[in-house]
Amino acid sequence: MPSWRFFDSFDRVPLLQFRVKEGGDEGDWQEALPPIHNSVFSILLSPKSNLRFRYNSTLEHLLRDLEEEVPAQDLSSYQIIKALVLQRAEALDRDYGEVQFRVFLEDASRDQQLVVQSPWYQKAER
Amino acid sequence: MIEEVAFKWTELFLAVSLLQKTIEMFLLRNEFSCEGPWSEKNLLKDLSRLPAWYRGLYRAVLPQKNYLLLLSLHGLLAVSMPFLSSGWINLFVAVTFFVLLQRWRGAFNGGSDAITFAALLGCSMARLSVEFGGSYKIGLFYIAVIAIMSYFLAGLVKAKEQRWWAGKALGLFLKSRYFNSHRFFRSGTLPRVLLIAASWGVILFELLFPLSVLAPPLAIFFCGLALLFHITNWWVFGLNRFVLSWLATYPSILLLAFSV
Repeated sequence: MPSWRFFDSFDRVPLLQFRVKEGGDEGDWQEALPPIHNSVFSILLSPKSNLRFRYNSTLEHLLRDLEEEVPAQDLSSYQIIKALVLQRAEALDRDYGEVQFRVFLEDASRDQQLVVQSPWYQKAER
Repeated sequence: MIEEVAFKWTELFLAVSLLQKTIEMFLLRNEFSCEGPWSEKNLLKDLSRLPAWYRGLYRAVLPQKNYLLLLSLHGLLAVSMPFLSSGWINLFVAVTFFVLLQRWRGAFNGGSDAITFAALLGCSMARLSVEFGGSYKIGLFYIAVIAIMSYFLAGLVKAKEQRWWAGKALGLFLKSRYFNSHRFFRSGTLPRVLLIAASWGVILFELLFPLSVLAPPLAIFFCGLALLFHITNWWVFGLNRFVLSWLATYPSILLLAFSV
């Protein structure tokens, strides 16, 4: 019997943001997983939307994994999120040198609690 | 006769649902290539934390080539299920579905994977049971019970939370940046009374869903409502896989209602 817990967690949700450094200037934080517009055909196929759901689950996994006191660098969930952020930064089409990301928990009143803030990663570093 | 009709429709809906999942995964193949975030290299980081007996299975689906090969075989057999009429093929599709999910830590799309796997197991049980001289009922009733429980338990979780009854929880889900809600709902301009009405509607629908087994007209009513519910969830939250995944369970629910 699977456990069914649809839409039961809304007190605090994990969110992912990243920023890039251009010529020494740290840019603004931006959403790594912005909402995806679903067309009428997305009822048939919606791979990007489903991938976004999967990344949200990965953020939750990362938070659980970090409780095990394993170095973040040694976690698949951390490496996946890091690679996602590097991918998103590349898509910006800007001449940046480094990327940083953070994961925080946001509650209903939009209060945020920082959970992870990564070091700065070089553009090509994977 | 009615059992066979229910089984055929279950198999057909399952085949279409699995085809949808397979095509979507192919469209995402760059995500799990050597360069993608879900690369073999990144996933291997977890290997030492996994139970020893499980590592072989996990490693087998990590290389993109292996995964795509198994996915192709799985997809091909899944769409052939209604035509091949073999319990062993159905079981193989169920097993490959499970194995493929291991690359995604057991689930790619949560609830839709769970109900699809349950439906595949039920479908395999039903067909194998007939091949060994039994009836379709055991497998199909298993699917029906799992599907009914999925609605009921989801309703129970919501009913225990005061903020669901007050419409606040639904409002938060719609506004949250975490969920991929439709931009119309993200603005948070829905009247409170509408949020309360929608929340009450969802909770009551889910909690009362088990009544569907009492009579066929009730089953038709609840399954119709459920389909509308999933289509709405797709429109509002983008949960497209849920529509076909749960649709595959409705013939079993109808059969159970006819049998009761």
